[in-house]
Amino acid sequence: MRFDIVYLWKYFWKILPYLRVTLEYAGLSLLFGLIFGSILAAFKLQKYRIIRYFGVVYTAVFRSIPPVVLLFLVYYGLPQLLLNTVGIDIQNEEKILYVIITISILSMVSLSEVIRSAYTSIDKGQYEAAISSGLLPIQAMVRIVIPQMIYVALPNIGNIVIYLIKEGSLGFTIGLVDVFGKANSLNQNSYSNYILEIYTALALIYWFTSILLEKGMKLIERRVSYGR
Amino acid sequence: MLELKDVKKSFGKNRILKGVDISVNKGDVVVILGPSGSGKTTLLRTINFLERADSGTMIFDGKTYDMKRAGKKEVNFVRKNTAFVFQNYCLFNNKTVLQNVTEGLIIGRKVPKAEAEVKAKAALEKVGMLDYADYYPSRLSGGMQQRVGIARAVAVSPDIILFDEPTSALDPELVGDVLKVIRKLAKEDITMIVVTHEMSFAEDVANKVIFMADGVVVEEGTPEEIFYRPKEERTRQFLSRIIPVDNYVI
Amino acid sequence: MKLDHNFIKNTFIAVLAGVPVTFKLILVVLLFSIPLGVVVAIVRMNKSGVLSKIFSVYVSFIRGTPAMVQIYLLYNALPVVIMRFFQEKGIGIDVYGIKGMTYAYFILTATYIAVMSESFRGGLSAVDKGQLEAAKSIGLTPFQGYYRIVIPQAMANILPVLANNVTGLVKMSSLVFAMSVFDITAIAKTEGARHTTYVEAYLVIAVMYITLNLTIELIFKLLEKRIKEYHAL
Repeated sequence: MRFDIVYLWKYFWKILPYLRVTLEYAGLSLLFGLIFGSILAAFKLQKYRIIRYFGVVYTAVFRSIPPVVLLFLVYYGLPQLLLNTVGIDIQNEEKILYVIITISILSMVSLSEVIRSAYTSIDKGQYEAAISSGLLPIQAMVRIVIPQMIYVALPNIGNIVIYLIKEGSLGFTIGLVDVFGKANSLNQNSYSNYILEIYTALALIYWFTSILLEKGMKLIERRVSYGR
Repeated sequence: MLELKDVKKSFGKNRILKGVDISVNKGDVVVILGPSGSGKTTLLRTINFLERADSGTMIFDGKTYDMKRAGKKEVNFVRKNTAFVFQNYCLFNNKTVLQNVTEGLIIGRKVPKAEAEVKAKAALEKVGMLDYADYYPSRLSGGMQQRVGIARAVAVSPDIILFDEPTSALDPELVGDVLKVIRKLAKEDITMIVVTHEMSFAEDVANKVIFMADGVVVEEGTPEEIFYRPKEERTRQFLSRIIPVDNYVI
Repeated sequence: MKLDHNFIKNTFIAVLAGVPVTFKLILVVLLFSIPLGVVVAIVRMNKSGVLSKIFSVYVSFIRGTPAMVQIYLLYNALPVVIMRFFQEKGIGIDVYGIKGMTYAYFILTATYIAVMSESFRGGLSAVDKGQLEAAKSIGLTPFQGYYRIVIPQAMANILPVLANNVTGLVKMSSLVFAMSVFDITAIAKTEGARHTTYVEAYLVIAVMYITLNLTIELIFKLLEKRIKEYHAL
């Protein structure tokens, strides 16, 4: 059995630059996920039953669809839907757009749960003490409640980023050239002669990225631990 | 300086306040007593609009407020001129002791940072917590946290401080320190309303005692009147259950 | 958007053939990954020891790499290299003859041992340490202590996470098309490609997955309720 470390090294560095694409869609999806996930979480915390149910059902549905099926639905369905309903043509958009939309939905749904439970974990007294100190409700949220929510949510947010990177790797199935896509084309160009080296390199890139993210999150967590 | 008229509040079918009137003069130390569920905490919370009353009027600093319909500006005005001390302290967990005290000054009242810190340190000094200025709340005992909670209230020089059972979450050996701090404030003529179960404290410090039960004020008067010459049977019952009369130490 | 209703009906019937495959995958993988996951969790809770270290690297790898990469590595890459080696040495074993389904069982189980072990570790460590010590002190073996005392107490904490793992497994099973296994996703994929009616095809299976996963969640909710009543927690 042949496994050439030199080629592993070589392909590792050939694939690595494409991590930029991976980080791009993960970062953007995290951003969109935080924005829309907060809104979805607010829905689920509403007094009004209809709004709350809408949030719960939305979450249940999108949490149940396999990411690859969701990606195909977005890739094939969304352009048609947009074209036929609002007349916007996205058929020639970059592939990464579909990946971003898909994992933004995943990110939104997961983050909404994290945000909701972070919010409910903060003692109501924190908010009350803030407004009775003379802070406006918005100031109380921004200065007192949200910083504490971030501390509670941080470990989960780290996990979600890793999850987004992993699910986003399915982008190659619609032809996105990220690290996975690049590994596939390198493999084809070398007639599968270095197939094991290439995919080992790919696996290592993902693994290192995950470990680095985990360690990074631990560091940030410690920074915002407020003496705990 | 503070007057409440006919305050009513229900939670669902549960009528917690059934029309409460109280009045507080400048420099008064008013203690509200009563069995749990009598509505005393709720009453205190409606004053600071932490709870919206279903109806009622409040006269505060010469202005009249509809306690149900008061707008944002009015609510903020009342909150800025009052302070609240919570049963479970509610220190901001993401702020140090000093920041807990300066927060309401810098953000709520736009006091310049340097000035706010001077005021905050003076308040912390008063409650004996200046040495812990850089600690986060999670490192402090309950008694220490509550003293910071009091400093946070004092620092904003409110017209009135509302104490919601400030010692009931504390271990017995820590209660004394906190009460000592409140006593000290009472001597400085700071107006306050204290909801508490500490009878000897009430007798010592209050110049007016209000006894509440089932959402109404049953009786009010000087400590002497309430503790030794209660007019109402309900008050007598309550007091005898709390402390057997012959054991009562002045 | 116009959907082809006729096609939806036909896909649904075609996809039904994949349902047993999906179910078989899920049941077999659960059957192996739950007990093995418990073992890995218990070994890892005992922090010293070489085995614990090996398992922790293993779990980290599985958690840190996408499932599809693991599939490519084990299903696409490894057999090619092994086959070349066998041909060089004149060994007459045909690695390519191994069915995709076998790979699917193996790879999904390998992943889910790691996933399960993490959940069990969380649930077990939430049980007070004194419980196991007390069990040992009255003469139970560690195995008995876990089996009779710790695990039943951990169950109430573990069930919600377990529900999540099972629905996660259902979702992950959709990737077996990459190993030429014809589960519901793979059939929908080919049907969609044949008639270029992708949207309808994927909508059909999306609804199937949603139904399946929500049913699983419901079952676990009921189970959880029963257990909580039983332990009067």
